[in-house]
Amino acid sequence: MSLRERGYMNNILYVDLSTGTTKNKTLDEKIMPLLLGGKGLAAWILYNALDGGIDPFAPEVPLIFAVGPLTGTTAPTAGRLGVFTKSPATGTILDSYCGGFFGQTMKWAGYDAIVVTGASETPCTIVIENDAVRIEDAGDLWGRGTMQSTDQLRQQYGPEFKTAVIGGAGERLSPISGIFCDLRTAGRGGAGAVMGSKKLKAIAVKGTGSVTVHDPETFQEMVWVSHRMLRMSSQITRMKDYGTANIVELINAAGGLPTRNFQQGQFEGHEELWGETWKDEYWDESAACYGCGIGCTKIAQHKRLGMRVDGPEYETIFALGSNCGVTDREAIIEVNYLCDDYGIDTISTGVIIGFVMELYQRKMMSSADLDGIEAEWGSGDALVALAKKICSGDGIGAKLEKGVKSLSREYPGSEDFAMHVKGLEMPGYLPRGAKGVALSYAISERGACHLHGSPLSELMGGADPLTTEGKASLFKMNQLDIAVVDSCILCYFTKFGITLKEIMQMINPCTGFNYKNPRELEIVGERVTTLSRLFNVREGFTRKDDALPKRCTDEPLASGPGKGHVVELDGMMSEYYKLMGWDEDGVPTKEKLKELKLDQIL
Amino acid sequence: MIRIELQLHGELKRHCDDQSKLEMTLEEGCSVKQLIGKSGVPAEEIAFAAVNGSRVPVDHVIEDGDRVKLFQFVAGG
Repeated sequence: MSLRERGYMNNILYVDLSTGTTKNKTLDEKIMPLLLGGKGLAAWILYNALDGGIDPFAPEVPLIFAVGPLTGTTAPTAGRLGVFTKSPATGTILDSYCGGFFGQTMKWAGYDAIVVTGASETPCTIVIENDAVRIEDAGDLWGRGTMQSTDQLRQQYGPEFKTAVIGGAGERLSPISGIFCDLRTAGRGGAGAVMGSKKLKAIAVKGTGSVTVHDPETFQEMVWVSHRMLRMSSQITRMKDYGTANIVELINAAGGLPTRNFQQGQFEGHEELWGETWKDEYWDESAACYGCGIGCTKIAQHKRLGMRVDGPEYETIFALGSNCGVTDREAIIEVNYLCDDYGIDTISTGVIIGFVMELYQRKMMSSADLDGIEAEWGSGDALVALAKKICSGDGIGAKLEKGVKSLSREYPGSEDFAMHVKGLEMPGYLPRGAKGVALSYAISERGACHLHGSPLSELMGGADPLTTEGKASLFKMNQLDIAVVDSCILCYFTKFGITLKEIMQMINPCTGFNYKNPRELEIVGERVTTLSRLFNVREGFTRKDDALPKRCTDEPLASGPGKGHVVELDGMMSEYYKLMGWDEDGVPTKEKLKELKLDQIL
Repeated sequence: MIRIELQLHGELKRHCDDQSKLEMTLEEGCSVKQLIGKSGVPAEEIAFAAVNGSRVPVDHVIEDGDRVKLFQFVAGG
């Protein structure tokens, strides 16, 4: 039976923007049971397509839009899209995901992956209508925001077309720019800049096909089990009511809410940022991505300016709020809107501004350095003014939009409190307050990341966050699970209602691969994680790069539940490498590659 | 004896007549674990306890005037 009858479209679309040509390839039947799709498939394509050391903006670097076997089916959250390339922020492999409606539409158009290489001489849009693919001029869209671009594409091609677009930041090749699909964002790591380097403003896709699964009856039964388990989860119910912001109070109480550039883990103004507060005063609408019963999206309106945003999400609230000492919710909404429209990552934006505010506090930067902006902690006006600079790239914005790592090089001594790993700004959990999270930030393949197995459960009551004991194992377990989720592709939040067992019970009737137990699926996750590590090793990344800024490792926390704590990274790192079958330098051993059958497919 | 305020996060209040705040009188030296036992909230539904806004271990001894909050498990990221 062909993969076309087993959850796949059995079709990869290759678009070369340098020549304006396209071609199609079928999937390799041998590798799909080993890698599933999504992250696994894209990591394999990237590893084979590139040599180490290439500039992420070189035309030959692929920008891959990929889905998985569950995408476009009736499985919960089956509309998710993954974007994969080499990160201009970190130089590592990059995977970034978003919800919305692009993923399932691309699958229904007939594709498991769209691989874009080359670079157009002029701005362009790739227009896909099932098997008809054309490259059209996008000169009139270039320079426009993501929202106007999305609206214009809809008007031009029709409402049934779903879009992935970049904003001005992606056009300028900012390493904090993302790709926006109906305001859901593949935001982290600079995929928007890789798209901009190809002069690709947008992809518009219409799909009218469908996905055929191996055993429809069993598949549908198992899909309903998963939907039911998600509905029954009290954690998910809470998320439905208060979005991702539901955790602000709890994370603050646990001492994990990064405050004033990660100096503390508790914020005195946290009540102003609770999900309950946003719900009472700002959110007037909820939304859900395709196939999702969770519906975590909350929509806020700025009271004075009238602008509407999806969010703010927890990560945006921490980054623009507590991390900058800000409780001004109107300022947070305005900056959220600006980031969305210019096409940049709110996490990186907030961490850059928090870093600038600390440089200003220490008198390492003055208002004269900042085009007249008084970068005081807690100032909503400063937050908006600095964000406008970053979004436009004007004046000091040209330096700020390059990210914390780049900026810290200009201020000797500031590297110790430049809160990034490998060039990716840290997300919203204080490493000194959560040792497993700290380990995951150091090791995650795309730099500081909370979504690649970071054991956030230790802050949410699942373990003692302040001990290092067992954290290497906890991180590994989470990491392998999420690599499977990202290869299916499902939403990260499904893990709060279903486990690998339920995923296996859907994947088997979908694909006919017949994994015998969840452990077999976990090995797929280990293979995909190790393949991503191999990509980074080839780029020269080793143990020395799996590092945290000195604020995390050398500066005891001054207050809160983690008072006196630093991150004891080395011991956890060695334990983790050993558990993964990597050597002391973090390089996967030949024995491990053989065990994972990676030697057969690379 | 000491007087404290017990706060219940999210769905946990359903175990206490839908009250999210309760005034309680406890014996001196009462630990968080003992308070949980008296509260009627099943321990397996509690993520952790916080006293005056900060997470504490269950053997933490409660003092007069403390605000003790029991948190439910949450999802997010």
